[in-house]
Amino acid sequence: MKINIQNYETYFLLYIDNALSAADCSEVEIFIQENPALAKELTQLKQTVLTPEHIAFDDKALLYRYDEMDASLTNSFKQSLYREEAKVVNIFFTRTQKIGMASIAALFLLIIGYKFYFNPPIEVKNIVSNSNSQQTKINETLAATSINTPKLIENNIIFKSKNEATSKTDGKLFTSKNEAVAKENNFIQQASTTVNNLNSAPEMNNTIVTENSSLTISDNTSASNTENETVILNNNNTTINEADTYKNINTEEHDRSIYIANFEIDGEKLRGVTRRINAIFKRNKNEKQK
Amino acid sequence: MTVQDFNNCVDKYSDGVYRFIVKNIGHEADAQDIVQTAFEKLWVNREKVESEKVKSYLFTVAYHQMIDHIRKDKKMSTTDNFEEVKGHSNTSTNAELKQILLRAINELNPTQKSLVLLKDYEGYSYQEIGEIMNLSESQVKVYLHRARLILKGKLIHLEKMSA
Repeated sequence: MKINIQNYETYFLLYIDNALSAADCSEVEIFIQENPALAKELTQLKQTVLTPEHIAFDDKALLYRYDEMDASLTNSFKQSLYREEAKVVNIFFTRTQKIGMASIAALFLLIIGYKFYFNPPIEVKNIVSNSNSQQTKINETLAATSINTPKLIENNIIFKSKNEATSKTDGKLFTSKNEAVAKENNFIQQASTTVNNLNSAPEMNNTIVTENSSLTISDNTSASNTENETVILNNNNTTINEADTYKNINTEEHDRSIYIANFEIDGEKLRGVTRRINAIFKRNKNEKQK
Repeated sequence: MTVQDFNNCVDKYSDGVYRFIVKNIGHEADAQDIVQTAFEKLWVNREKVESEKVKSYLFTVAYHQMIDHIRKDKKMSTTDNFEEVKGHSNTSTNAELKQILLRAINELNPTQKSLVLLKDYEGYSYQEIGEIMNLSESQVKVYLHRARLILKGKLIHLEKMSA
């Protein structure tokens, strides 16, 4: 393709862009010489081309790279930075041991739970045993007294009745003397005497009792002076009832046991031991006093 | 690419990239940031970039950075940008004509301006410009010629106005 009037502009543009070959450039130059009117147009296009100017980038130091990546630390310094993994130490038990212990504990708890569920609690047992022991103690004392008390009462009643009977004849002084004597007497002696009395006059007992009640009401002053009489007054009606209730109390030997948790202590033996200990202490005390 | 090679590239191409950008956007600080970004990318990709294509790589990166900057900022000033740029040539025989030309270039769109700058300042071929700007050779030719004719018309108009 050759330069002509229709395509000269493209040639001119390529010419100013230095995009033409040397042959094409010479063609354009010849064409301008042949068409001087178009030379002005070429110069106008040449004026649109910027002339290179030097503009420097001042901060080249910002762009420079240094050999910082090649910098290496000494091995000793690197070793100082190293971290070692902490060793895992089983201080107490291994996992299997822990599982075993846990299973044993669970079994133990199950057994305890089973015991608690099917057996009465130990504390209740103790209370019961304590109450039983207390009851047995009470029974013992009551039994001891019950053996004596009715007799005593009877004795007193008889004694009183006798005294009263005598008092009818001898007066108040005589009764006071007899009462004083009765105070000094032991219960056993009284019992023995009452037994004799009872044996000798069983029929009289009932009658005397009835008399006694009447007498105590009439002789308030004399009855209140002596202990025997007050006992008689208070126990006039209750002695018979107490005797009835005491019959129901269980005083069997095998109940005299103290339970501490699952341990059973024989109450009788314990009592014996405590008595012996008390006796030893008393002896020591007496010896010291001496 | 070694560190020394990279630093040599800085010496050879940083001025040209900076001029190209600063002539386009007319803002020195932004132009410096763009140049710095271009060289950082070169450093990151120093193993991938061939030594023969370092210059075009730098211009490509800088050009795309500039386009992003223009899109974001839209701070393109029209007439005074080239006057702000220091170091512009006063050696031209016709300083007045040069000023008129600079004003005319500032009125071009960014693509046309970049085409003119890459062609005139850096002397790239149409193909190289096409590679930098992601354009075909024919597109570069057409756009550049259109820009030349616009500049020619503006120059004629401005000459008439000044006369």
